[in-house]
Amino acid sequence: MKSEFDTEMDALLRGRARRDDAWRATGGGRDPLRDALAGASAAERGAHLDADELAAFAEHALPDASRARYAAHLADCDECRRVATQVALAAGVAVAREERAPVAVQPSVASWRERVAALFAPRVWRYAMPVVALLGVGVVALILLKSVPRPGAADMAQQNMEPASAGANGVAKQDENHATTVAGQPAPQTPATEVSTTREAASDSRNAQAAAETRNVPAATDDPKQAQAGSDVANAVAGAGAQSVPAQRQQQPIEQQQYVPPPATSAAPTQMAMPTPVPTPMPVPPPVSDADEVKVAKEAPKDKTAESEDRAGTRASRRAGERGTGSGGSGATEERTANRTALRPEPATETPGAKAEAKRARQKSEAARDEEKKSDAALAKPSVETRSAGGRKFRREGNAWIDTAYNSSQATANVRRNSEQYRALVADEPEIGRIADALGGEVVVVWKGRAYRIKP
Amino acid sequence: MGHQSLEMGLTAAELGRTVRDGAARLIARATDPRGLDADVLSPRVRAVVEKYVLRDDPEAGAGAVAKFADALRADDLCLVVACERGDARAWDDLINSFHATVQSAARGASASEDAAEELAQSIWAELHGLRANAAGQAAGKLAYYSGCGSLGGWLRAVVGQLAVDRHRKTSRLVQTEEDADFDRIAHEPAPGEGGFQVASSPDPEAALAQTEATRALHGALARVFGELPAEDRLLVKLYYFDGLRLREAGAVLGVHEATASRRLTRLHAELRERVEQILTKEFGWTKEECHRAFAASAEHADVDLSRLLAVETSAEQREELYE
Repeated sequence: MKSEFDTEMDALLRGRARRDDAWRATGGGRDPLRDALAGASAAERGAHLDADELAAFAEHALPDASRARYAAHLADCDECRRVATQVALAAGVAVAREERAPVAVQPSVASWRERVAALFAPRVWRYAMPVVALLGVGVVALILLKSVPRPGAADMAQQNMEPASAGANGVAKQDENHATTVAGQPAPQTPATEVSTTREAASDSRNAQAAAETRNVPAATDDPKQAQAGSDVANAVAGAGAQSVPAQRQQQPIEQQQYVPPPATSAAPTQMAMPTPVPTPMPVPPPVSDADEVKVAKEAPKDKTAESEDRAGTRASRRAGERGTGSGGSGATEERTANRTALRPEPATETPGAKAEAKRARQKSEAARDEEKKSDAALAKPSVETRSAGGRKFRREGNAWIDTAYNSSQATANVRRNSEQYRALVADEPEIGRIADALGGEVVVVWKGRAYRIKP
Repeated sequence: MGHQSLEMGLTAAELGRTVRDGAARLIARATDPRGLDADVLSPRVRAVVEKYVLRDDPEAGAGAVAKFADALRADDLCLVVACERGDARAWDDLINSFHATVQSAARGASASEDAAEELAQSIWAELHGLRANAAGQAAGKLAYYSGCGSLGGWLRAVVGQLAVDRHRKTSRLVQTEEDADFDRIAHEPAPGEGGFQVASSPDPEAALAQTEATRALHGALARVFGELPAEDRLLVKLYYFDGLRLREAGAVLGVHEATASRRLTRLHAELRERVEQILTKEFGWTKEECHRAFAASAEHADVDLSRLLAVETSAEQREELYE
């Protein structure tokens, strides 16, 4: 047995094919061998196949029983075989491109279910688990603290609330907002502080951006909603891992919300330390109402007057404001103290413990924040994505790859993949098809002075 | 009773019912039925079933017929039938959707852009038809579209056939200089009659023996080749005679390139084995003689190459015009 590929037989058949070409070129004389190889004569093989039969054969749309008959004719009829080959190759090119075309990644059209599912992907949980664990610890601590009366909480809260540092102007603004809100909320300070610190530990770690974004935040005293909302810190933390974001930023996506805790200082009574953000699990958005309360509570400015006190709403909101924010002056402090006393006695003995708890929570939240920053850096894509294909450069715009030579004002031909126009275009300009296959999805390519938008 | 009729083939009533159901399903899965209903499509579907299913398998059952009907291209068929019925919107859609396809096919089948444009225009005229049918509507080639393959593929086939017809007409009218060379060569002994040309040998008897051996081998090869299944012969024709690559030949046959390669390798072995059987049993050759004949014939196939190349070059030029 010869080698797997019989070179001698291959040479024989090639030689035979060359003779056949020569025979055809000369107009043909009688060649019994050629006749044998040619198969049935024209009369025997019948009339040529019609276009429908040729196309059906070329696209493999025939039943097996009839396919054999057409194959026999095509083996013998050069003309029909040539046409069938043309159709088959055109169809085969289109099919090959369809098969090779990568699945377009279109995150923008992903349904909300897919987005939520993506949030709970293992990769996300790898980073979120530590944060969730810290959050759980913070929640438990918060519940425990809330259950214990703290008479000196008001003073404790005031001491722990510190002004924003010079290096974080937005934080200073936040402080003002927080103070304003807190001023009108006569909740006990100590538990407020404890809650605030716990809340801080559970908050979103993107505090630097939040601080910058609060520069333009108006005074909380001007916004009655802040006073109302900056209230139930406990609920906010328990519900969501509250984010210390100003109320004005509640319209921003959760991913963009930031909070920067102020450095600890020996604050004057009028100064209130910014509560340490509580680590927040990245994928869990807080309830709007609770988050608003938390944001307002944290942003309450420290120097606001008793106007915010008058706007204090529920007992829980007052308590949250005191915990998360500073007071707005001695009058406000007295008001809060009085209300606090009326509502719930504050155990003075718990103040050092609350401090320690706050410190521990702060440290945990900083660690969680660092971790989240890393993941955010990986997820964030601020720069424009570019790729090269077919000797051309493309930039990413949304879900589409746009040729850098493309001008939006120029006429653009819209072509959908798998359409006849696309097949015809690719048949004429195969390079366009290769570019489209390489990039996938929607592609705008400028070819020979004309722009083509190839849609999936 | 119903089961027996399935085994023995469909009755006319059963066929009609199956076809109508298939037409109804076709309408249902069409994205744009274009106002057609099953009654309008049933005759077309029935004709297609009879052409492609019942002609080669008269005993086909309702399941086979239904399966075939469900594989028809619903949108393309509805579009074509609507065009046949004079639906102006359908005609607009047809032209808009397939103008590029026709242009591309015409360009591939023509030597120049002008010829391609003219060919494409002719196609549209052929599709629309210059004659009117009994209903007074233009009867064109669209009536021949079955929906079995895609409308784009059908249009490419129509363009290809029209190009072949035109070339056949023009090639009879014009004799180029290359043709004169062919005439000269044609007066030389044909390969089949004059024996296979071999290099001049000092031993005429050996050369004659070699020639006879080669003739016998080629004869046996032709016989075996003719006995091959149609698909195998088609593969050989596509690969050796049409010069396609294995990938392209596989595309025509609907198989992967690797499958085509394995099939070709198997064919080589089968051809050799059968040829050796014929030579040993009918000509009394030994195995050794068979092997020598194969080697010599393969070598001689290249000996003629230089002469054939001159002809081959002209044939390529002709083929370019043909394409």
